[in-house]
Amino acid sequence: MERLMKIDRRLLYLISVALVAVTIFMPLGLPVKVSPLAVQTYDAIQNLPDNSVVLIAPMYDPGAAGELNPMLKAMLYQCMERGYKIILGNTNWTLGVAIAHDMITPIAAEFNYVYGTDYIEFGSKPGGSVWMQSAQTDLAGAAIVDFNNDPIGQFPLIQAVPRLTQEYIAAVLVLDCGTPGAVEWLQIITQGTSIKLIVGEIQMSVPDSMTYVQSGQYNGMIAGSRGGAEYEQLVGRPGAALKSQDTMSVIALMVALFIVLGNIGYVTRKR
Amino acid sequence: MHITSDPGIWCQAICTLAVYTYLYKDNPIFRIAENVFLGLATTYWFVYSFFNYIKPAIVEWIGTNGQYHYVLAIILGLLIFFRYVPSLSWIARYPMSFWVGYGTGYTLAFTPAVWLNQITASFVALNSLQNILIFVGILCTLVYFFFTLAKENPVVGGIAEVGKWYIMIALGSAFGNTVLYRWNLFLGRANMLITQWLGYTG
Repeated sequence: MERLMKIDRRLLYLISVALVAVTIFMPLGLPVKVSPLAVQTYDAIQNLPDNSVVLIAPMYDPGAAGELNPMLKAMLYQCMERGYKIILGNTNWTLGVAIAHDMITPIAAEFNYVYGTDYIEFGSKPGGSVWMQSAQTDLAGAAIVDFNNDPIGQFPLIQAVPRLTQEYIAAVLVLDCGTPGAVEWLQIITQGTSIKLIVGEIQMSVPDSMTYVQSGQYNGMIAGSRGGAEYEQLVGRPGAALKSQDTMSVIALMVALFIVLGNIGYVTRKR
Repeated sequence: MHITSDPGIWCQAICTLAVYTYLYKDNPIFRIAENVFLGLATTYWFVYSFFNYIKPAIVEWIGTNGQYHYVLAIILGLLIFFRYVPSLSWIARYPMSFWVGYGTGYTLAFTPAVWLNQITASFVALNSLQNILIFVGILCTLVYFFFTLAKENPVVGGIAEVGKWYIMIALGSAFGNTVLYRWNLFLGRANMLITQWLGYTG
């Protein structure tokens, strides 16, 4: 047991890396059952009125891309299949919009979406909550230029959506990994309005965010990578999240095993 | 497998591997990667803010639209740089106090509505096991935090003990989710290395 307690942590890293590699190269194909929360989230987006305008805010950076990219991709597919017009952008997460730009461009081409009319990217604007307040009263004035640095007021979609209020947008879809994030969109834009707030959440923040789902303040939540895998199935676009579930299951088992072994070693040594 | 020739992906892969060398031990390769990241992030943020916000605001709002009152905001913002002049550093407190004042006002204006909705949502009908658990959990956890109540009283102490267990379960859940999230981060990088860099498509 003494030896168990003195295992070099680097050996554990090596075992972990080997397990991840094995499950990537040889998928186990474990089934992923769709939870009621994923269905609720899918329905919340699917049941928006036809021709709705939705705002998608990728409030993350490359650190969280592993979990949130698959959710964003599936969201874009669902929104475009439903024919919603999309306003894409965020505040304070500059790299999130760059990631989202690379993602929306080919999907928009696939659905023949016209830039400026069917979708627009306003980029990332500094200011956090302050910016959201400005956009609530004057979207073009708050955004000024789009992702490509062109004056944003010239585009038909922005002319049709002068403000981020319930008269103009049906839902805000937030990919959330910190502050400012979904809570700020709730506080400034959706609280007390008919605008739906749907959140793609990183695994770490799921317990905190669940209270917002329970209270009805979030109309849906994609809960971590597992939620992403369930949502991909509902959208009918199996992707990276679904593929990663084998690895996550094996990793969860491995961590549990390490914890049990560590505790056995600890208790034995204590005696 | 077909290893990519894209220099961007190569750059990502080298930086990723450089960062992971820290798992062995602290080393100069990790330090270089760390400093490159900090430098790039700072520069990117500065350039992005300037060309997407500061410059258009000055050119569009003040220059073209003639909204000269924004000059006051710019002056207020620039006052922060008096921090670098020791004899006049007190002037830098004005923009900070303005910001703190805004923050306080913001919190008072927007936060209670969010909390109140959550408090309202905690009043649940006791018609399912989940709702009963929520009700018991809220009650016992609140009792745990009533430090003015004597915990020696067996009833109060017992309820507080249940509250403590609820807190421990919640913290355990949060910790478990954090561990899984960290693994997800690693999985994201591993996927990039294997699929984008090494070109494995299987």
